[in-house]
Amino acid sequence: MSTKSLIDEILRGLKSVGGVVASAVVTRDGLLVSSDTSPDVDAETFAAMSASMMGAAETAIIEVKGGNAGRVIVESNNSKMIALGAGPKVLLVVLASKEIQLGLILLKLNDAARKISSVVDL
Amino acid sequence: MFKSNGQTTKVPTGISIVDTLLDGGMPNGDSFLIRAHPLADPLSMVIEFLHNQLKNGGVGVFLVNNKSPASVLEESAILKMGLRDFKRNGQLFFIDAYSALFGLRSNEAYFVEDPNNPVSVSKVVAQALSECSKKGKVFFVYDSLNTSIDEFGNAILAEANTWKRIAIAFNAILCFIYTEWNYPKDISEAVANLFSSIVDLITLERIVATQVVTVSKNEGTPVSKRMVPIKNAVTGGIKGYVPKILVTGPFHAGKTTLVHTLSTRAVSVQRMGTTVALDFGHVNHRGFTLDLFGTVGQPRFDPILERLGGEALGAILVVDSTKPEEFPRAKEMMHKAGVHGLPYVLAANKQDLPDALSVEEVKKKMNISDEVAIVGTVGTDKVSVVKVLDLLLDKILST
Ligand SMILES: Nc1nc2c(ncn2[C@@H]2O[C@H](COP(=O)(O)OP(=O)(O)OP(=O)(O)O)[C@@H](O)[C@H]2O)c(=O)[nH]1
Ligand SMILES: [Mg+2]
Repeated sequence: MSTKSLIDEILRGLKSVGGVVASAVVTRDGLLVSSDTSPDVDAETFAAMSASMMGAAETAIIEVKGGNAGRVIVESNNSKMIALGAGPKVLLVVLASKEIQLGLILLKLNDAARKISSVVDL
Repeated sequence: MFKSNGQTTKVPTGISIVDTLLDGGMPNGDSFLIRAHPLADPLSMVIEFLHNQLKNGGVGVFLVNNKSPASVLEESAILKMGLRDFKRNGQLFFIDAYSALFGLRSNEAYFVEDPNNPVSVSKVVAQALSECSKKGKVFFVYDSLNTSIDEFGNAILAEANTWKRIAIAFNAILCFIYTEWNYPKDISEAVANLFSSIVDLITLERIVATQVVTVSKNEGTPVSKRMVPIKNAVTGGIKGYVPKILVTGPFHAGKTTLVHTLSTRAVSVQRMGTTVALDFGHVNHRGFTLDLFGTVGQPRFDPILERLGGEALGAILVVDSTKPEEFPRAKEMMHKAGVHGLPYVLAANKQDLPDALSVEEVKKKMNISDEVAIVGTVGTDKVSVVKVLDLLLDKILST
């Protein structure tokens, strides 16, 4: 099985977590690896922007000596977007409904990120 | 093998990168092989070939032996290259060599009752080809050759020769799908020798999965392998694909303007007139889809520059031709972005300004080698910036 199809499988699994609307795995330098989004979403643009957002956040927090960024959470008027590292090469980015319980979803995301990391870095 | 006597004309597949690789298209009155790596997807390419022939009024004959005709129709609908209407119109005919394997009958135009016997498969193919050729120019798909090899071994290859004879007689085009599993060498070679043209589909196992198309043989002549990465766009079919071209250069040189002029769709993270994250745009050019990453320019954003250069296939370096004092910074940025050493083209931008240095002067001041192409541009002038992209694509394809 290809790396991509394994990642597709992990993303499909995330879909079953209540409140998860869309998800993607992108390289830290902004290329799309795999996405589970509605067809009208420009996934490549989303990938590039997510990677630069994460890169900027990581740089910013290092600059103020705030430690290493684990994840970036963006709250909008109708949703939450969460980006987190999945190993040294890729990021996992998820769009969830506004009502979602952060604690619960983060557990699931960390778990998925660990799996993705081992698939990618093996 | 039947020689073409140089008499064959070419029929375009309609996928421009494949037609370029094939020197114009598929061989008329001959058969060709689509040879795929196990992870590659030959069916969607073949569906696009077929769809294009049918659109032009051709007749399709599609043999299936490892999937149902219905699943081919479904796949075509997903690809937005629907074949169902052509079947209804009497332009497309299936040879069902599949249903009988499960003891089922078939409603298709042609039915192989005994798919376990190569001679009976061959008979139906010959009948279908000769009947359908009376209706128009036939494009025949055999999906797949390896299922037949798994069933019959070498015996099927003898039958393939019979069909080639028919192709010549009726001036049809025969397209065989073949996935290169781990066959013994003699089988692989026998298959390759049977066809005078071979299109290869290869997958490169990287983090970002890439499919590459190449032609290893064209009308009997081995071709030096030029590999073109491809992508199956959700609409619009198979295109050459360059997932990342970095557009970099000093503050205010015109990177964002250039990305937007080139792209069919682009977004930029601009704050107060400057790029604070990146520009991203999709470009369609010469049968390719290319994604442009425009970088930040100001040094205070360099950490982002350093993060986004990875995996680029080439770069466009933009300089403001009125600001030679920034030229060293331009070179430094290529290094910081990690694209130094990749194919690149220099855009000497803002040529419309009265104090702009000429292209020659920019070249001299930047002290760059003669191999580097340099184009004088105006950020909003499409002709000049497309020239930059054109030269870059040539460079990327020749490396
Ligand atoms: N006269 C002239 N102005 C140009 C040209 N190209 C861009 N500009 C202008 O130059 C300014 C900067 O252009 P941008 O495209 O934002 O430059 P940039 O390199 O993306 O800038 P940063 O992201 O801030 O580094 C804008 O006001 C543009 O309208 C050109 O060819 N001629
Ligand atoms: Mg800019």
